[in-house]
Amino acid sequence: MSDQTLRVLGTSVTLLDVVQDLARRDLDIDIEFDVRGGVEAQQKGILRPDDYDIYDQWFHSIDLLWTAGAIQPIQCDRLEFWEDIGNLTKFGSLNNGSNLGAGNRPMDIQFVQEDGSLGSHPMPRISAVPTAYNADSFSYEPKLMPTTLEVGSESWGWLLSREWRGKVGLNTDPSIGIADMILAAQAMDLVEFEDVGNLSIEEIDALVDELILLKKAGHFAGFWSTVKDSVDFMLKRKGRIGGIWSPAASKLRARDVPVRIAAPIEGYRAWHSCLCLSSRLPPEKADAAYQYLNWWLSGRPGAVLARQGYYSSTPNKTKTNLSNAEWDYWYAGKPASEDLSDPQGRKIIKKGAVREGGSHQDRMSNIVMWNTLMDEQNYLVRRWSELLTA
Amino acid sequence: MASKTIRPEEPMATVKSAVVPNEAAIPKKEPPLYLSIHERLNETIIKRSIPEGSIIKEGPLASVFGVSRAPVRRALQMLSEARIIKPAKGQGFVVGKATDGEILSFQDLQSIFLDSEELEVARTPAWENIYESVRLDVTNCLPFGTFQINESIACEHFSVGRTALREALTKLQDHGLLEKSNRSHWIAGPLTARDVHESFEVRRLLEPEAFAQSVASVEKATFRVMLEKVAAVLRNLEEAPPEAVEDIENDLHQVLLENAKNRRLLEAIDRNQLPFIVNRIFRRNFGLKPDLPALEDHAEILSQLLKNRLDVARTMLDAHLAKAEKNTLAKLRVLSTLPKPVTAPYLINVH
Repeated sequence: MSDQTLRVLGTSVTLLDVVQDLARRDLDIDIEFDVRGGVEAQQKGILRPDDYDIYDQWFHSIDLLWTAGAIQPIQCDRLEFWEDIGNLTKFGSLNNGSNLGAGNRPMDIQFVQEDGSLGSHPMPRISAVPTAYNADSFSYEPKLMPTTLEVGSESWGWLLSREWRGKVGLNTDPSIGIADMILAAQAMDLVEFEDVGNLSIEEIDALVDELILLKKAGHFAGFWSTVKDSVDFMLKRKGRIGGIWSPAASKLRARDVPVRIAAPIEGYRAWHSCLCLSSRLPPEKADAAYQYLNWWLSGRPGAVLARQGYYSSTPNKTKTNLSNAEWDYWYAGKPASEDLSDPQGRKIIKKGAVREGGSHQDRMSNIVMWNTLMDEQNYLVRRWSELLTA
Repeated sequence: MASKTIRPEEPMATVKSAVVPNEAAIPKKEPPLYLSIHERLNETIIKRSIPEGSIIKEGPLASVFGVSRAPVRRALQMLSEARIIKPAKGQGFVVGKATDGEILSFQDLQSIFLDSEELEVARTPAWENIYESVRLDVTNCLPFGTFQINESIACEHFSVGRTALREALTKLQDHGLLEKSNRSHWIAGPLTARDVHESFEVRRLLEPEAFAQSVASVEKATFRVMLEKVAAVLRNLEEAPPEAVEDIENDLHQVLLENAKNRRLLEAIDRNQLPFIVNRIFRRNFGLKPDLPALEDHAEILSQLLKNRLDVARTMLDAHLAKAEKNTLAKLRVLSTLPKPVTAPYLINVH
């Protein structure tokens, strides 16, 4: 690694081998991906800005890095395709009247305000470059589904229902795993929440106490922190259902495990990825860093990620990098006109298949909650670790 | 060449412990009690003022010295390890190498020690000696969960008796830093966003009033000195040490209030120090330059005071507190990503 190597810290969600290969071909810069689990990447992002140049993570962690002084403002006028950013990213919804969902949306912390805080009022400097996003839910194998349930009634409540007891897997990330559980507990009427995007101490206690009881009763078959672990969990057949993300579902399909990504009646849990500049980015690397940021908005990596089910903040740019068949399946919600491959080139979608939940418009207009940091995040994390060790 | 490294098994480089004691805040202490007692006993035995073969016990010794048993026990252990005394067959210790002789009563011991110079132990109340240490131990753990204080371990740790310990803990309870549970356990933490919000709410209601009562009788020269401190940090923002910022905070939020006539008002404000704990732990864990807009607020408030615009200064203080609440809550969220620190042995992590 030379002194000029651009060091990118993030997770396997976006830092794929194929993305790196493509970046190397498209850009004349050395790049090193530092791939870690979500919580670990976030902690390193906050504590060690000297050890990376670019931080590639979820928007909801930006508040932490900004407060800790780990990242620096990005000049909007240096972003060639800023005007190509789509409406979901800019406004949090695709059209008026969509379900906006609880929690903080990316644009709530997009711009650096005059007093140094982050807000939604457009300003010349931004906190992060928005990249990929998706509407998440949970996945399961339909043929292993309890006979009392049916595909059309998929609900977050399944994650806590008696029918799936002993077969449920859970993500350990305290912002994501807990969100799945909040939506499940709400669907099951286990706990009443005033605002699922911002729990009170009493609501956190009620939820975690219930979950500890369920854990002790053997409800959960496993916990994971990386996509790889979640794939292993499903492959070992210990678990049958869990917050399996889109790349994990692709990997399972590539191994002939026909998982279904649920389209819950309550709506999806949405998230948005982004890129930040380390506050310690050496000035001589700034040009390379901006080159990399611009590349992410060019639609080239957006097309790679589309093949594992992710949407791009610049959808129109991405469209020109996908085949018509790919665009129609992943974005337009139409039946696949041919077999389709994942980012690694393995056939995962059979001709005629239709994406669960429908089109980009359908799925992103039905958001029940955004991954978010709550006011009581510190209390939540402490109690969440109590659940994980219970 | 570009390369990709996946290192899930590689441990994170050492994360700085969240507990960074504020050395400046710990007053210089008297030597620990057990050392004073050890020295007095050692001298007395060497001078042969205690007959060889006598049995000395911790209870009567503690009464003679007017201290608890814990420091006496520790002093006796040290003497025993040095073979100056040895365990008696029953209770207590035998002085010297002779076989067990007579057990010395309280009166015997009193006459021996009254003959010598007055005992140089326990000059200041024992709770005062330990208060700052206990306060730092407790406040440093507050954001990281719920901790129960084990009184026995704490007495041992500080070499004090339960009375002194409880006195120190009661003071912490008065300042809202500790609570007593239904089962009479001392509980510290968890520090929540609600705690921070409520503390700020109280401060915003009370602090501007105390400020208004107090600053009218503060010398202009004091404002100038305080303003110069802020200016010095603003001139060299990159290099400013955390202590300089803490001093500036202390000037505005404590020193400038001290002349308020209503003492109950000041006590009520003093009981709401939680926000400063978050800021201190945060500042000492992240190599951050000081918050520029906040320092500019300080400078502006002091400038208004110098111009006799007390009402403007008061309004600005209120706005400053509102902004500080938002910042402090954001910092508390960041603390959620820090691992639990190593805490003092008497703080037992409940969850």
